[in-house]
Amino acid sequence: MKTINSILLVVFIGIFAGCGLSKIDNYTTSDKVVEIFPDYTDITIPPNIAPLNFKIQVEADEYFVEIKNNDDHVIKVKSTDGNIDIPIEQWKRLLKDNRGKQITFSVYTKKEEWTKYPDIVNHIAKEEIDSHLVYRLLYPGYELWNEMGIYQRNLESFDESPVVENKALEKGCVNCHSFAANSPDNMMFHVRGKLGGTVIINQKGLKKKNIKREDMPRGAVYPSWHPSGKYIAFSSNKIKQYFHAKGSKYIEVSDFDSDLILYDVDGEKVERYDAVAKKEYMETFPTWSPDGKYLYFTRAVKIPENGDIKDVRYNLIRVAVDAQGKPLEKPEVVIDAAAEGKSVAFPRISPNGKYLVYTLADYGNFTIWHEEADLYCLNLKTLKSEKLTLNSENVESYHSWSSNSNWMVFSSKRHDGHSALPYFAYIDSNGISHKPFVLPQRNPEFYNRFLKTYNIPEFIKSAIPVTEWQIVNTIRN
Amino acid sequence: MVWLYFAYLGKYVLLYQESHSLFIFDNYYFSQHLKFPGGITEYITSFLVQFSFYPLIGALFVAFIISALPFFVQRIFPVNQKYFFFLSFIPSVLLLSCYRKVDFGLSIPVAISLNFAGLYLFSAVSSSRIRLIVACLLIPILYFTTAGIYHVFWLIVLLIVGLQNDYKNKFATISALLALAVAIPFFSNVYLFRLTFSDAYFRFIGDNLSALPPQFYLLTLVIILLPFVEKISRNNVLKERLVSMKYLSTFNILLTVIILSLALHYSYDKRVSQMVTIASHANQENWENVLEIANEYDGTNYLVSYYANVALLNSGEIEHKLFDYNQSLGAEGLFFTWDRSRKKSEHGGRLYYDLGFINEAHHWAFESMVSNGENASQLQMLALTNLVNERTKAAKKYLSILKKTLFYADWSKEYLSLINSSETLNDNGIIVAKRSQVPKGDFFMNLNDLVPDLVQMLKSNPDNEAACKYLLTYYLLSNQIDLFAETLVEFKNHFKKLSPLYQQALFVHLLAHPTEKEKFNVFEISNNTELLFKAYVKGMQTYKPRRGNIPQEFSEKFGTTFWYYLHFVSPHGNKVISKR
Repeated sequence: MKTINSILLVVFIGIFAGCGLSKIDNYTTSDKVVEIFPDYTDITIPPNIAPLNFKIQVEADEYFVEIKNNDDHVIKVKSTDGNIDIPIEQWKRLLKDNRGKQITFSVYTKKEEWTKYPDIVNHIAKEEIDSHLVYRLLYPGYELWNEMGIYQRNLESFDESPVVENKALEKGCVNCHSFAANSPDNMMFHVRGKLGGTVIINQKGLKKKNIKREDMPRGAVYPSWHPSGKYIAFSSNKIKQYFHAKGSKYIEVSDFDSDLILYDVDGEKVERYDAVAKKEYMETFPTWSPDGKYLYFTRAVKIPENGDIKDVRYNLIRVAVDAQGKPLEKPEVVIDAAAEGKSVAFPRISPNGKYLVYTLADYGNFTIWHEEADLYCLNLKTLKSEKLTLNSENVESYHSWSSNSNWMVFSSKRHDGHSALPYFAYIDSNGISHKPFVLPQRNPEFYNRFLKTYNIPEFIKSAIPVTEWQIVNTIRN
Repeated sequence: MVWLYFAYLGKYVLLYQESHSLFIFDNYYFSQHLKFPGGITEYITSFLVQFSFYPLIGALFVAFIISALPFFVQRIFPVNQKYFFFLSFIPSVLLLSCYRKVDFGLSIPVAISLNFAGLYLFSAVSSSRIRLIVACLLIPILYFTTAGIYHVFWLIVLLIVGLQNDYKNKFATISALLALAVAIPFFSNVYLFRLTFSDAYFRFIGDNLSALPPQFYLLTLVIILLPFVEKISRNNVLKERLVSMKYLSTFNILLTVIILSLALHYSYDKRVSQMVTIASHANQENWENVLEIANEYDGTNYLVSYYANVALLNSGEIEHKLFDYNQSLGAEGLFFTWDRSRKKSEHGGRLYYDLGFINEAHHWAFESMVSNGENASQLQMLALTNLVNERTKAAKKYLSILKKTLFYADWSKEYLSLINSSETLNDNGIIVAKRSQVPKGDFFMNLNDLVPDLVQMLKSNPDNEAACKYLLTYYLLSNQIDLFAETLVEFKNHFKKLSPLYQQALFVHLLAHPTEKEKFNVFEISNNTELLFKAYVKGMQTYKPRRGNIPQEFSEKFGTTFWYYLHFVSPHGNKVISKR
């Protein structure tokens, strides 16, 4: 009996120790806004996002945070190292119950006595974000690689799993993953090296194909799935690398030739876009309008191999196409960026067809090393562009849309100028971007330690339905 | 004995291992090691290897791991121990001989020791039922901690059980253990690790299969044979004979010492030792030691020549003592071309840093980190290059990682404190000196040839003295005396007085172009140089030296002159090359 009593006492103490997160009553108030990392202040968040764990950047002995919308539902987190690890189930409930409302984070720190800082207020959007994000993880390096892989992260939790890792593929490069209309059922990516080819996953299963024509400058590179899932437009690019002796851009990659091709997924045929592919131009970054009526791409005047790559500037072009993706008219210039001394990259249209967001840099299309690269939004109705407010002093480059057009994920190097991290921004009904926030991690200090880069973040509506084994076996066989 | 070897003669192995590993005291680093089988062994190994920063301590850990094996073998196979105790040393001896390959890590010895510790636990139990339980528990534990090396455990367990005549339920036990040994990697892989099947079963072994030395395979064979030898040793007739043998112990001791000595002798590779040590000294900027090793090195080696020239540049002796060191590689001994080589990326960036090509130094350091893994020297270089380039956020990231190490924390804290006060950072001697060297304007690097990069650098930043001297060295070593002379005159501000070596080269140029004397009036060619030249000419007539047949007296007198290099050493021929 004594033993049972002792056990009960321990359990009782344990329960109360866990619940001993009572309200802080005696505190002084500070006017100073508390600094937290990552910056999760004044943001709009999806109602299904994983807990926004953060670190309080104040030196103290104890930390206490209350997260609530009203007094009915309060999450209390106590910490001794400043890392605020929010219980996931309570967080989910809080977000679910408060769609379209605000939540406040009350932060207290204790040195000798408790101090309360001004509340952090965030807004919960009504619209959900797609449940998964797919990206490639690799060092943001130059030419060499060792280990890399494409991964999927459940945005509603912290679960990350490999889609494919190159350690199972003789360390070959895997790149350019792409999905049709945010669907995990229609996916493709390239594998380079000994086991090279393009892996296509669709309703018919998994297959590896060599998408190549004799008259292509190089192999298939940047893809875009036709909304029907029947075709993929690719660019084929001949590139060259350069290394800057000075300045913030360490590396430069420039095309010297590029064309567009159309791949018929079922018919397994590769066709050149003869109506588009002009000798004097380089075409790249194809992207379909969601209704499949237009193919957008970027185009620059070709320069000789010894030409100045700073003269390579891309315009945004579109061409009307038929149901099979074949051009019906001559291409038309949508944004004449070259005339303004600028260059367009990565045009991506919102699934509702209203907006086209693109990256604008001083020259070229390898914008991930261009500090000046920013995101702009083109209203496809008015054809007027505006610089998005989500930009920073550092690089903003690759971006993609959620299936409901309310969320955008984009690569930004604002954290350290070196690693591109995925930031999410709410795009409201007027096309206005809200303050972005970085992909939440269980350990809020994760990004201070993580040296790799998140390459090509793409939303998908659910997890990819095939296993890594199936993918690896397809590639190896 | 093992400790003495690694503490002194085999110290280079520890230096190499330490420079290719980094142990970080944080949860993220630990959690990364839980993501794959064998991660725990790698974690333990990295923890131990970090102490090789002080080789005397590092040697202690290596000696402990290597010496643990005989301890376990003797206890697992006690009869062997009684009559043939030298046998218990054979696995250690074979492991030691694997260190002939300097990149043979400590992970495999650690993993083997852990498996032998498991075997010891197994054999210490006498009840066959409890033995079965112990084995069933240890198979998954050892698989998780030591990956592919767990085969050692279950294989020996099966052999011990199989070879034991009176073992109860032998067949059932063997079947159950075999099934478990096969099933554990399969199921843990399906539900946890998600590796390929070959990786799931043979990680550690499979990862480095082609890189593993043959001794490793011999070691595997010996380990498998141990239970059989134990079985034979238990034979009563043999036992009686062995007991009656005189000097059995002496024979065992002698044999142990002999095989151990042979293994250590075999493991040592003087040239590799010199290459690793020279790189280590260069990394610590011990230029005198670099030059000492370069001087001692017998033969020609790109790495040794490269570091010797880098050391001459940094110690300010390149214009004085260039030919005191072996320059038979000519201009090729000055730098590494970028060919995406993992090995070259470790070393080539140092020169770019010394010459003020900070972006390029960052490039090489980053490539090295990507291909060789995170290590302290590359993280230090990445932090420094980012600080010079005023990318403090990126620098802080590298410094924060180093802050969580045992032996680089102080270095990183020093720079972190500078970052927090930008005024102090801008006053830091190293940072200020480096910033004064960088190009003033941007251009694209060539990387296949150092000359265009140096020429561009000097156009952009004529005050970069290191770049100027290295360019002059390039011209000297490639016999391009016209370009040497022109560069000398163009950057005359860097030279108040010409070194004897430069005088010798200029003297040759003026002999060929007497009309240009006025152009070079700013430089004085001393009487000593003229007298030495006359003596050289006379020596040529007297000794009649030819390439491959140079009298020692002649080489002793003139071996460190430019004329001697030009005539008898330069791989670019024995004539001046005019590239005007």
